Amino acid sequence: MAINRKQYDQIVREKSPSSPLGKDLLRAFLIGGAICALGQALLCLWGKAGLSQMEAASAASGTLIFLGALFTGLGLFDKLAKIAGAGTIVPITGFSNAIVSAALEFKSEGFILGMAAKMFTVAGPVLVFGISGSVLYGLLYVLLGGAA
Amino acid sequence: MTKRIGQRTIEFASPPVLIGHAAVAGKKEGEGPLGSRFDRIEQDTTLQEKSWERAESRLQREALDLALRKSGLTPAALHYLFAGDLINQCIISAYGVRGMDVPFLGLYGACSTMAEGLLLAAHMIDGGFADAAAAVTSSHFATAERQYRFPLEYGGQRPPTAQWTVTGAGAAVLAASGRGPIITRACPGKIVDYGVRDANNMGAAMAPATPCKTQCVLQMINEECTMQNCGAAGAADKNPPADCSAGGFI
Repeated sequence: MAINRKQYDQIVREKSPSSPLGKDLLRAFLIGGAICALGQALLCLWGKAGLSQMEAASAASGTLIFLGALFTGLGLFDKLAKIAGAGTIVPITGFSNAIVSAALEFKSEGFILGMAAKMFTVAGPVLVFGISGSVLYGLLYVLLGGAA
Repeated sequence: MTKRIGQRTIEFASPPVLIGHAAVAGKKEGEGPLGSRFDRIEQDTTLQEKSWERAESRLQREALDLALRKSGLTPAALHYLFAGDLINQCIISAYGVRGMDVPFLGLYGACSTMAEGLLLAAHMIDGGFADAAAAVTSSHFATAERQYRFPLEYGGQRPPTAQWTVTGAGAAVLAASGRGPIITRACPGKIVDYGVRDANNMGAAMAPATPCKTQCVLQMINEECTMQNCGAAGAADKNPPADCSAGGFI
């Protein structure tokens, strides 16, 4: 009985336990939602502090980025993320964690060629495709007359 | 004197003796079911070193030193040292054993490095090229995570098939004579690629390469075949798996 790749793949699929989707979704929804609610609260607070709507939005994002970085540095972010999954990755906190965790990890390889150079190993693709995408979108927007 | 007894299996004419061995492990491993078997458990997996890589090198050296002490040999008695790890250029092993002044042969066999080291050391001794040789290997969760996966503090979620890379090191000292278990036969595995692409399911990627008939391994996965009746399952195929029954699972 010779087994081909397809059959093996089938066996692996059948035998590998799958992620508990319902539990994962619920936790991601609750924790991700809580982070978003925190963002909204920050937006209101910065607004109350006298910032305009635009400024308050930037300040709220900045605060969330700071908190993501802080909790990563304290070694608590990955513990929360283990439970939250996409709930902590999808908000801006995930981006912050991706950069700070890489910076911490590669510190031992040097300050410039380690920490600074490898800071973007995880978040790099997000930047490349995010920036490329926004440039493309801007170009199309102008070409299709949206800017007029 | 026939030393080759199968397509892949060899038999040692004068079986080398495993005269000393040692295992050093990290905190998490120490809390596991094998905990009481380790010679030393490091509660602090940094071992007070500046980097995880240095810590792993220390683990490897500790395991080798302990194995040598238990075997009653000095490093000078070793004719060869087979060592390997999971990190680029086997740097952990090179730094781990530097200063020992023993002819060094670096290995990369990932999970099979220990078995590979034992197999090669046994060849050297049975062949009469060495009176004593050692096999050493190590891995460290934190160094492996950086090399193969994500930064330690990265907030990722692992699927249930993901595995934990052991923090620990093992060493074995083989000699032409002495007291201890002997190595009678050896059977190296082959590269068997079933195209598993999921980096979080290494078990599935590696299982078919076990030195046994792939079919048997697949049957094991199907729970129809255990390690014990592995040979029997092959025999039912009217094609006695000499390699399987002789080499067995490592």
